[in-house]
Amino acid sequence: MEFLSVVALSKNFGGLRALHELNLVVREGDVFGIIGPNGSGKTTFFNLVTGMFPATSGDIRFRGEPTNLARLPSHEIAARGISRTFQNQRLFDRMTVLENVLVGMHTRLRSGLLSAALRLPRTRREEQAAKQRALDLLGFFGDRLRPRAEHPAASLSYANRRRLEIARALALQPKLLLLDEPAAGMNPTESRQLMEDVRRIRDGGVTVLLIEHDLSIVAGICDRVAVLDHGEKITEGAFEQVRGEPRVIEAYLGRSARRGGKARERGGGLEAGGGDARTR
Amino acid sequence: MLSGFTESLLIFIGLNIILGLSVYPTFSTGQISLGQAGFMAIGAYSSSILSTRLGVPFALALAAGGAAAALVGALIGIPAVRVRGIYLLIVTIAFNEIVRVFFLNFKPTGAATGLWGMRQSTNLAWVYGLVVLLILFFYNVQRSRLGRAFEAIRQNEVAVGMMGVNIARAKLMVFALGAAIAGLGGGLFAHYTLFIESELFGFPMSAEMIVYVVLGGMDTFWGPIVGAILLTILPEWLRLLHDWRMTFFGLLMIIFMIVRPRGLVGRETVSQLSAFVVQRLPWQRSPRSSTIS
Repeated sequence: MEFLSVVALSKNFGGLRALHELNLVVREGDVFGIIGPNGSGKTTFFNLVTGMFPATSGDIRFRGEPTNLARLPSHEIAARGISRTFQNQRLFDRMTVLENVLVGMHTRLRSGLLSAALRLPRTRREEQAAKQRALDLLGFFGDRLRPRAEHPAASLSYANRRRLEIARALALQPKLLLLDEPAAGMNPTESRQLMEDVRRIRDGGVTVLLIEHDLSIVAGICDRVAVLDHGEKITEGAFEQVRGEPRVIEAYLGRSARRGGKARERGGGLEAGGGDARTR
Repeated sequence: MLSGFTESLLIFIGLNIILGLSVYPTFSTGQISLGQAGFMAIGAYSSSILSTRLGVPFALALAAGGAAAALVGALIGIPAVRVRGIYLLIVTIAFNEIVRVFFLNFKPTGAATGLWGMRQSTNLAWVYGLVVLLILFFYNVQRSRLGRAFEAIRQNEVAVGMMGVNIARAKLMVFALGAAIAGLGGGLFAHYTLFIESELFGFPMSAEMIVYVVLGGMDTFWGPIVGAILLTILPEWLRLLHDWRMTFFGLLMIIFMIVRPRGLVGRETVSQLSAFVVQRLPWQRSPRSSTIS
């Protein structure tokens, strides 16, 4: 049984081919990296997996179920145990930090309109338990978020907003977590912490799909990576293995760079240690 | 006892609170319905027919009016919640007009001559009883799983779907809920004024309900309550301005919109006020009780 299998997945926006015939298999328990230059279709892929829009064609199967996720609305996909963070942060800014996490628990709580309105004992107990669990989740990031539980989400620092997005996504108790550039805008120390956090999430039994531009992070935590360019997968494998491939270097640095052979002369492909592939 | 004038003013304040609250459920998901007077009409007419022609007890007639409005709300909600913003405004305005013209021409409910013969069953107890129930309802729902989902839809519809919230269903729920409250308000209204005609339930009535929310505050359900109280009393106080009354009124609205664009009562107003009250209670409660408003 394949954990996540993507077959011939395509998405067109009018005449633009954002994603073309993508095939991918993700094993359970991996941290799987999706890398590639800007506009290569990474986020489009995430949006298809989470149902932000329907696919033009192709299949996404999750945990051997016959349902094609590419045809489902996003809330049904979430209920199956897939959650995500967003590249351009989508927190509920005017809600508190704690409430943001509680919204993430929506599918795991039961109370409806009537039981909520009457505040039945059952509802009260559920709320109590949910709040405790939300606080525990905030505690996942030490005392970065927990002391700020009652503050509005908008008041958080940039890195803490990213952390809150992860905590909110974990509240859904996902089997698969999609992180869209979680380290963007973080300083090196924060990035290192983040890598540690992602490992802990994986060790907790959550498979992680990761879009990241910071190649040192990709090198550090990804078991496998797929490289996208212009909406197509150009290669796949362990990062150390794909980073030297000519097509990958070309995708990142352009054709002339490859012809000049500079990248390879420097000792093999993309510089993982140098940090950001965008600052080429 | 209260003078007739005071009592009638209090009743209208209460009715307007109910009508203002009928807008709030839809508003709490970030959408505006400008057709609430249509639901009010359905509640008013159906409860009046039941109480006058069929001799149904007032409480039952009132509940049936609310249920009828909720049913119609759910039916038109199914297509309506699929559109947003300005498009939903247009759909709901159109709905309001359909209802108004229907009652203008529908012979069994009096058509253009209107409907009368109701007994004055609505009194302060009924009106404020419902107001209290609604406050409890909104207070409890606001801090529940669904209340948080509504608020999250208002703040970021894209993210909330991926958190597992069925947005279409939530929107349908609030739409039908708002319709039910407007229907109840309509039933109370009809059994107080004792005469209803289709013209009462046109666009101006719907617009007035929106103003309660916009001026009173759109972030919590206390907003429309404060808005309804102010906007019912204010015109009475402004009577001394004679013909300039509505001009002054309009000016006031503009100033409010500039100074407090999210309305008078915000989330922070409620939490600050409740913290203020809790601190001064004779028995000291734990400080946590004031944190989540």
